[in-house]
Formats: sequence, C-alpha cells, structure tokens
Amino acid sequence: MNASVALIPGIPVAGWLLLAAGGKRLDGGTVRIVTAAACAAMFALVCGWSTNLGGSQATEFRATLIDPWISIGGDGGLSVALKLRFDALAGAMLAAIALAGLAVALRGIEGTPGERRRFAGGLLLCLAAASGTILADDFLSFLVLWSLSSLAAGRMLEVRRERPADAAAARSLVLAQRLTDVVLAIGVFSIWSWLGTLDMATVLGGNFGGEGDFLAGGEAEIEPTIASGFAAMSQAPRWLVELDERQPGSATLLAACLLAGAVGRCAQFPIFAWLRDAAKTRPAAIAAIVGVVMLPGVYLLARCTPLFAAAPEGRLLAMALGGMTMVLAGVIACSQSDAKSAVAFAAVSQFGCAFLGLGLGTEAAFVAAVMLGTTHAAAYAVMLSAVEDRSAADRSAEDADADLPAHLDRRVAAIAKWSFASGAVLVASGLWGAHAIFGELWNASAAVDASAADGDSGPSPAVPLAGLLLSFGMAGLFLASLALSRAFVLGFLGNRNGAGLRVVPVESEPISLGSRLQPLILAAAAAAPLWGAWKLLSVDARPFGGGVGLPIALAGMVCGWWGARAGDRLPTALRRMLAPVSRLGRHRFYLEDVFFLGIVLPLRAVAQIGRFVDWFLIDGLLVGLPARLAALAARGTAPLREMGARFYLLSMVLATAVLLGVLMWRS
Amino acid sequence: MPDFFIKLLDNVVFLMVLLPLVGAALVVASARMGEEAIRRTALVNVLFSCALAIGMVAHFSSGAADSVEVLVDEDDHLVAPRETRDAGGPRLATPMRWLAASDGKRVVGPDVRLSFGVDGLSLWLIAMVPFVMLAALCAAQDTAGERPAVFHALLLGAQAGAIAAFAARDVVLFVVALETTLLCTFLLLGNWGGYDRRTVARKFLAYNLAGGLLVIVGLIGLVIVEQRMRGGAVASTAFATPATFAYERLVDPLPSASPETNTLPGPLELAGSSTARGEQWAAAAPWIFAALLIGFAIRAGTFPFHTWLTSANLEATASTSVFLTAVQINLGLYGLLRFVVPLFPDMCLIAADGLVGLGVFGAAYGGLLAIAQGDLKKLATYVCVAHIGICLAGIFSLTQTGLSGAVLLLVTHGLGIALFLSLIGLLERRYRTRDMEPFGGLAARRPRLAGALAFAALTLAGAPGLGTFLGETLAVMGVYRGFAPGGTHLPRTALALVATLLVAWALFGMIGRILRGRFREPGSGMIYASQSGTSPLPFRDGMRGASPDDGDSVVAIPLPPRAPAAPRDASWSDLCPLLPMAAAVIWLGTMPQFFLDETGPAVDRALAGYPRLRLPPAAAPAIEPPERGGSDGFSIRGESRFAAPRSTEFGSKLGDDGEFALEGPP
Repeated sequence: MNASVALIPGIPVAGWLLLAAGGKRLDGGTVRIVTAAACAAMFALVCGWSTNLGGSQATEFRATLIDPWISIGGDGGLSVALKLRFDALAGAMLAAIALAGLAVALRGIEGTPGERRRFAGGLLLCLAAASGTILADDFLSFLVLWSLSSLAAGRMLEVRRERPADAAAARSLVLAQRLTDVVLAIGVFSIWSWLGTLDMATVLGGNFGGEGDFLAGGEAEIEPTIASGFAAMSQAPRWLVELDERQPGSATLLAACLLAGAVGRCAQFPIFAWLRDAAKTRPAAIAAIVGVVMLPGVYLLARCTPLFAAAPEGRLLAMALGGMTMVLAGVIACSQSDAKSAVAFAAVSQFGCAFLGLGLGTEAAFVAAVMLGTTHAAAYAVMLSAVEDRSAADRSAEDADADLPAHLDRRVAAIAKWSFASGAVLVASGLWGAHAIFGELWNASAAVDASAADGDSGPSPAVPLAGLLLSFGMAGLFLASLALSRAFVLGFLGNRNGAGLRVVPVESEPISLGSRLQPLILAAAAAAPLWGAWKLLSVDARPFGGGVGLPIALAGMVCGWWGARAGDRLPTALRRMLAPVSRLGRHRFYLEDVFFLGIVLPLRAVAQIGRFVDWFLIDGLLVGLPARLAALAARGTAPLREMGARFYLLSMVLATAVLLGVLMWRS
Repeated sequence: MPDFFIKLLDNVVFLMVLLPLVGAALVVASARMGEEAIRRTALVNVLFSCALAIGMVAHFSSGAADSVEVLVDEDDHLVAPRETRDAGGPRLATPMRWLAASDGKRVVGPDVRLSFGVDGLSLWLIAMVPFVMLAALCAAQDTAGERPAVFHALLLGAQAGAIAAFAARDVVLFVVALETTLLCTFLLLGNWGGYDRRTVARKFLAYNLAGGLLVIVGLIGLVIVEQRMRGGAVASTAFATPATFAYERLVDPLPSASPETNTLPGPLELAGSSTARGEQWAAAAPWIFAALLIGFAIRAGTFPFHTWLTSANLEATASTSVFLTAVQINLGLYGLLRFVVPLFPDMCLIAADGLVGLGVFGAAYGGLLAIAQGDLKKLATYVCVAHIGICLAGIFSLTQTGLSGAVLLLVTHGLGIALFLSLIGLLERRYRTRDMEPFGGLAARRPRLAGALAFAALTLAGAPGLGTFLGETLAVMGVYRGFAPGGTHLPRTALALVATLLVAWALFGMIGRILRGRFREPGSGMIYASQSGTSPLPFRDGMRGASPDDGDSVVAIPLPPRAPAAPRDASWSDLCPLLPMAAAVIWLGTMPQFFLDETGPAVDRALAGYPRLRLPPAAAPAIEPPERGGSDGFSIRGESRFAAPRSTEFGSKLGDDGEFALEGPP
C-alpha cells in the first residue's frame, strides 16, 4: 500500500509501454485517449495522496522501493536506496505537471499517426521522469531521473523526423541541459564526498523515521502545507555550516552547482539559447517543456532551500540570475514575431521571478515562488496548447505542411482564443506570488537601509542590491504581461493592418474532445493559484509589493494590447526608441553567438587540431619516426626490412625462451 | 539439479575456453560445405557459449561455487582445490598441472598450470565475450571473403583466447592466452579488411608486441623477484623453492595470512615484514610496475597509445572491429585491474595522480576528436578512446566506487560498442559506405535500423537508465573521492564529466546527421568512401566526387559488377542477436546491485593492500577533532601504513587542513 506512491511515475510509464506495444496499430484518437487517461490518472492519484497527507497528522510520506539500489564498499562507500518522498511541496509540483501534461495531451497531440505516437510517448516519458525526479529521495536517483527527463524532452522535440530544425533543437536542448547537469553532478558528488551519503533527508538535515511510516510532524497544529514545510527547511543543515567553517566556500560551491542545474533546466540567463531552437518546433512540445520539464528546476531550488540557507552568496546569485532573466527574457518575449516564442520566453521570465523568491529565502517568498512556479507551469501549458490550435490553422491555410491536417474550425478557434485568454488570467492570478515576492524584496531593501542606519536588519534578510532586484522584477513583470497581451492580440485577434488569424473552416472535422474538456482543465488549474493565494493570506503579504505588482501587470497588458493593435501606426519616435531594444531582443542579446564563439567554435577548432595531433604528432612520434629511421637505414632494401621484422619477431620468441631458460636454471 | 549439470557448471570456465576451439576445428573441417554452413557452425558454437555464460553467472551468483584456493602443499605438490569462504576469491577453478619440472616426487622447476578460475572482476567480462562474439558473427556476413572458414576459425580462436585470458589464474597461461588473442586478431586484421589492412596490421602488431613484451618482461621479473624473496624466506627449509606462476601466490597476500594453509607468504607481505626482502622488492617493484603499466596501457589503447586502435579499427572488417574494441582493449584494462592495482599499492598511490589525470585527459581528447569525425567507425573508435580514459581514471582512483564503476563501464562499453559497430557493419554492407555525409533521415524510412543505431548511440553516450551512465557516474565519483594525494579532485572530475559531455555531443550529432532530417541514402550508382585511409572496401581508386566532410575527402566510386540489392531496413533476424546485449545494458543500468554484489568482494580484495578513505556515517551527531596517523598521514609502507581506525564521526573525516583521514585495512 505504502509503495503505491510509486504509481505516480508508474502510470505514465505504463502508458508509454502501452503505446510502444500498440505500435502502428494505434490510431491518433487512441493515442490521445491513452495519454490523457494516464495524465488524468496521475493527477487523480496526486490529489488522492495530497488528501491522504492532509487527513493524517503527517508532514510527509516516504516509501522505500529497492534497498539497496546501489551499494558499494559498505561503510564509507556508496549506498543508495531507491526511496520516494511525498509531501506538500512534491504534491503541488506533481499536480502542476500532471495538469500541464493533461492539457498537452488533450490539445497538443497532432500530426501524422507516427508523430502522435512518438510525441505522446515522449510526453509520458517526460512526465514519468519529471515526477520521479520530484519524488526521489536521494540525490543519485534524482540525478538519473533528472537527466532522463531532459533526454525525453529531446525525444519529444524531434517527433517530426524529417525536419532538421527539430533534430537540431532536440540536440541543443539535451546538450545545453547536460552541460549544466555536469555542474549539478559535481554538486551531488561533493555532497557524497563530504557527507558520505546521498540520502536527501540526511543531506537536508531532517530527522526521519523508518520505512513507509507516516511521519508525525511534531506538533498537532502543524498542517502538511508548503508554508509549514518551509519551517523545517529554513534552517541550514549543521554539517554544511560546520563544513563551511572548516572549508570556507564549500556551501557556496554547492549552492552554485545546484543552481547551475536549475538554471539549465529552467532556461534562465545565460543558458536560454536552447529555447530559441526549441521554439521552432511545435507549440505543444514547448508547452510540455515549460509545464513538465522546467518545473523540476524550480523544485530543485525549493527542495534544497536548507542548503541555500547556508550560502548567502548562492542565494544572491539565484536572485541575480532570476532578476536578469526576468528582464532579458521579457524583452525577448516582447520582440518575438511568433506567439509560441513569445509565450515561451514570457514563461521563462516568470520562472525567473520564482528564482528571485527562492533566492530571497523568506517564508512568504518561498511559498509565493512555489505557487508562481506551479501555476505558471500549468497556465503556460494551457496557453501554448491554444497556440497549437492556432498554428494548426495557420499551417493548413498556407498549406505549408501537408502532414498536418487542419482541425480548426471557427468554433474551435474561439475555444482556442478563450483558452489563451483564460491561461493569461491564470497567470495573472499566479502573480499573487510575484506580488508577495516584491513585497519581501521591498522589505529586504528597507532592511538594508535600516541596517545601514542603525545596524538592525529587521525581520527580513538584508539583501544587497535588493532595490535593484526589485526594479528588475517589476520591469520583468511588466514586459511579460506586455508580451502575453501582444501575443494574444497578434495570435488571435489580428491588428489593424489586417494581420491576424486565418481560419479555414473544415466542417467535417468535429470539435475535439480536448477542446470540449478545456473548461474542466482550466477549472482544475485555477484551483492551484486560488489555493496558493489562500495560503498567502496566512502570511504577511507585504502590502506595498502586492499593491504595486498588479498595476504594473495591468499596465503591461494594456501597453501590449495597444502596441499590437496599433501595429505600424505606433508613433515614429517611440518606434525609433524601441528599435535597438527590439533588435537586441530578436537576437536574444547575442547570447547564442557568444556561446557559439566562446565554446562551440573553439571546441571544434581544437577537435580539428586534435586530428592532426593524433595522426602526425602522436603517431608520427611513436610509429612514424622509428619507421622513417628504419627506412633510411635500409633505403631501397625491402628484403632487409622484411628481415628486420622477422628478426624482431624471432628475437621476441628467443628472448622469452632465454628468460624461461634462465628461470629454469636458477630453479 | 542433476549431478551432471552441477559437474558441468563446476567446469564451465574450462568448457567455455574449450568450446570455441572445438568450434574452430569444426569450422575448418566444414570448409568445403560452403559459407552458410560455416557461419551456422560458428553461430551454433557461439550460442552454446552464450548459454554456458548464462549458466556460469547463475552458478557463480547462486553461491553453489565457493571460493577455492589453488595452492600447493608443503612439498609444493599441487593439491586439490580447497573450498573456502573467502569472499572475492576465485571460484569455479579448474587447476591442472601443465608444464612442471618434477623429480618424480615433487616439483623442482617452474610449475605452470592450466588453471582457470572466475572472480567478480572477470565474471562479467567472461560472460560478455560470447555475446560480443554473437554480434561479431552477425557483422561477419559478406565480409569473410574467399576464406570464410579461416576467418570464422580465427574469430573463434580469438574468443577462446580472450576467455582464457580473463579466466587465467596462472601467469604463463595468461600470457599465452593474451598472445593467442593478439595473433588471431593480427591475422584477422591483415587478411580481411580495407585497402591498407596490411599496413595497419603491421602497426597493430608493432604496438601490441611491444606492449606484450613489456608485460612478459614484467611478469617474469615478478616471478623471479617473488621466487628470490620466497627463497630467502624459506632458506632454512630443506628444499629449494621452485618458481611459481600461480596468480594467487604471486599477488594475493590472503592465503598466506591463514595459518591453516601453511603456505608461503606473498611478496606484499614479505615486503612489509622484512627489511632485507623489503629492499629487494623496493628495488624491483618500480621497474616491474612500469613494465606492466606501460605494457597493459598499450594493449588497452589508452592515450597516447591509442593510434594503433584508431588505425586498426578503420581498416578492419566489422566483426574484427567488434572484437577489437569490445574485447581486445578490455584485456589490457583487465590486466591493470588484475596485476597492477593489487600488486603495487605503493607505486599506484604514487602514480595515481598522474594516471587519473592521463585518463581524464585521454577521455576528453577522445571525446573532442569524436566530434570532428565524419566516418562512423572513426567516431566509434574515439568514443572508445574516451571510455578507455574514464575506465583508466576509475581504476586508478583506487576507490571501491571508482573500480566498481570502471568494471561496470568495461562491460557496458563492451556491449554498447559491439552493438554500435555491428550495426555500422550492417549499414556498410547495405550501403557500401560508412561516411555520414550521404545519409540522412534514416529514421523515417529505415526505422528498425535507425532505432537500433540510436539505442546503441545512446548506450555509448551514457544515457540515463542504461549501464554506461551508471558506470561513468561511479567511475567519476571514484575520481572525485580518489586517492591521489594532494590537490583537489575537482578539476579532474570536471574534465571527466566534460569528456562524457563531449562523447554525448558527438553521438547526438551523429544521430541528428544520419537518422534525422530529410531522407537520403547513398545512390544506387555510386559508393562513397572517405579518402583518409578509411575505405571500407578493398578498392579505393575512383573518381573524386562530393564535397569533403569535416576535412575528409569523399571519393565516389562506381559500383562493382556484383552490386548489392537495393538497401533495405534491418530485418528482425539482423537485430535479434543484438537484443540480449541491449537487454543487458538496460538491466545493468536499472538494477545494478546484482552486478555490484558479485563484483564488490573482488574489488575489495584488489584494494586489500590500500589504506582506505573512511568517510563518516551520515548525520553523525558528535563532532570530534581529527586525528592524523603517521608523520604525513599518508604513509604507505611501514608501520604507519595500517594506522588504527579513527573515530567514525563526521568531524573526524576532515583534518585541520580539510583533508580526509585515512584508515588502514582491517
């Protein structure tokens, strides 16, 4: 019974196996039903476990599946048991990815039968790996599943096998994320090297009971919520504090390694080059990546809050990267010409806000960041699924891709439009989190001023550059709102210049089941931010931040709407002023070029040089030089060379025989 | 289980060596029956070997076969194998006297035994060989040329030699088996393959004979030193000490540690127990160590001795390549594991820093060069070089984790590269080229071939969930917590991880280039071959054609009169022989504990002479000040080597300068 929590990642795996076993016999409808059913079952199971968690006086539930999974060398070696942990944080994350998966499964599985099957398989594998990552209770299985989710995302991107751009996008995603995974792996190895274990409960400093127990949270009034979980996570583990005292910088190194993993996964600055390539593929794949693959990045930071508590520099780094990403990704989102890129970069911008909150490290900011991450993952998945419908119509209108039939008639177009709008509203409700984070930042800024004045830092942590980060956050929020609003207008309404949605009525095509179920999905997705908002009410939401965040978001939306509708009729002065920024945004601040020039090109050059080193230098020294000397010595005397070779062989045999003879004689 | 089967399984290793030899004889005998009959005979033989390998693993892991000591009595007479409960010792041993100078009563001269045995280090490598040979045989279709019987007989001979080398418990037997494998591979390489096959065969032979010579010199030196030391130890006894080649006697200090056996002490103990003999050992050990290390490194194709591997692999037929990269290089690394690590702890500890550095640098170098390749076999070869580097680093991390990871990587790499190269062979047979340039979008039209190729590439790239991933991870973890004194391990760990990234980059690039994108395959009128000595066919002259890829000139050659039929997708009969290897890779990646359970005791035994890094149990409540043993805390020989265990608390692992405290073996 207790081990049934393993069904959460197990259900998508079962669905994937079913699809693999079915093969070509499964038509598109069956594939969609199987995938959606797996996602729905996963969501139901997560809800069930959350209810179970809430009904018992427990803060978490743990189960051991395989013990030991890897055991080497006994004491002092490596011992890893395959364990799962379900708590409020994991529940929220799992619910979000299940919802996102459901939205994608219902709306995004399009294309040829083969493509549908492959895409659905990739999606289910992503879901399984991501949910396994969230449930993993040791860092090694976490690392394995973390990497697996990246690989599955790559597979999902390249379902249209005949498109080189898709394959390049998949390769770009996998390699970029693997680059950061390398750094994450160093962090995991460091934990093992320092502490001798990879068990999360031990590493993060908790004291836990035996296998499969419902673990009492201590006091009866403690509820199994994210906020109450934060109380246990706000303290840095003693081992890390003491280690940092002995080896200064250890905690910072560890925090930086973990942060690097999260940055690569959530496409934060400066590792968002891969998102450009990914955005060239279908919107549903981006939806799945935003909703399913990116969220574990936020989870990693949230789960490792105790480790960050010991490393103020690591927290500051997380905040700085989050703040910069909010602004840069916001600018990029605003300057994109296609809706899916705009929405994807807006999502990345908002994940930056979550980084900001998690780096801040206060209770309100933590809860807000988790809520922001979960709601945005689900909401952006819904929006991108709507863009998928829009794209399907566009493709059929231009006859650009004969493999993709149009499923969009006017009724579906309306549903897609309102789906997008509803997703945007969901995002806005999730912005409660941003408000709380801004409030905390405001207080942190005030704390800095206060500490400068009288040395008292007050209740919030004194964060250097808090004012600057607050400005970054607000600017990012404005830009993301503007981008979403602009994408909605350009993608679904059209501007005054006539550009807009071109819909080809296909009367014979019925409205898909996914479209009909859209309101249900949205209702379920709305529950998460509402719940989060309710939780936020229990903490001090910092009125200033809450007050200023909403007007900024509204202003961004209005500006985006106005700008998109105006099109070329924007004032010339304004267009001139915005042109350089827009150009920078379209080129994504040339980060890809920097990456290419700084890493890819030198590596390729070194690889080419290596070929010559290999063939001319090493081989030349070890073989070529002796061979040439021998050739010079026996110039024109091939028989001599042959004889030399024979002599060499013979001498080998003789030397062995002589040695053996000596041996026998000595014996 | 019937007694017959139990007896059969007790002698399974001997049978696994014998069976391919019998098969080779049968193949030669059936030479006139046609190529198909020859292939079937060889295939049946290898299938029997596979069944025996499975039986061996099952019998070994069931505990039915206890460890045995293959030792002699007081008069140095061979006694029956004695069962012990020594975890990590050899099992399934079949000792037989082979060459011994005897006066009728006792051995007076060198005593060479036909002694086979299996322990955790060799079990999986032995079991891997028949499955690799299955892939090699599948890849051998249409490549055997005019003398298929000799070709298959040599392949089977190489199989027998490899299994014998992995299982040998006698030094002479080990060398003979090693050289047999070398000879078979040399003949395979020189007679079948590309245009430059004879040149690269000579190069292959030059390298490997040099390596083999060093190994022979090292081992004979070891025998002589051991004999001299032992002679001194028993000078008071009445009889002279004959030279022994038994591995247990030479390497393993454990048998002599038991007073019941009344056997003579091994060199390790002698070195530590007596100053005079210790000096003898100290004088000889560096030279023997160097000879063995360099010899095995050459045989393994480690950087910078890898150029014979890259050359040979390019001109070899697919089946020879499979054997070369999956088995032949494993033999070299196995030699390091079997002889160098257990026998020379002091030397290894001194050299570990450099060797780990060399390993990770070689891995990064291999990964980097793999990126620049346009030929599939070249790519596979450099991936192989990268994996060899990681294995070397894992081995010389001298930690249980690193060694276990290295053994796991040896096995999974062997399986993965065999899969990959046999599929490249299939591709080459179908399309008459292995350049990546003419291919594209195979996944759309050749889904089975593309799927299998993608799986093999993912295996080599260390995709999570597959055995290679865990092998690499464990080896690199060992490097991180390695034993090399001084400095931090972070740069080497980072470089090793970057090497895995580069390998993945190269292989994902390959997948993108030939499996994805718009479909294209070599045209029916031309064949394509790389100009840089990589022609897959015995003819290279032709008209210069398409644009070069990655610096390689591509030559378009008119098809020969016997043009193959239109290329088609891989059939299930092509892929079925590869399925067991794929299943094994997945199994080792998801449920590795079975593998580690069998390997662990042997790894512990190999590291018995080393001080151990002792890390604290997790979350210890108390912090105690660290204690450091010896003058430098890292003394290897002498009294301070085996310092008493320190506190097991967390704080004790870190010294004042943040280094780990050491603990000696129990």
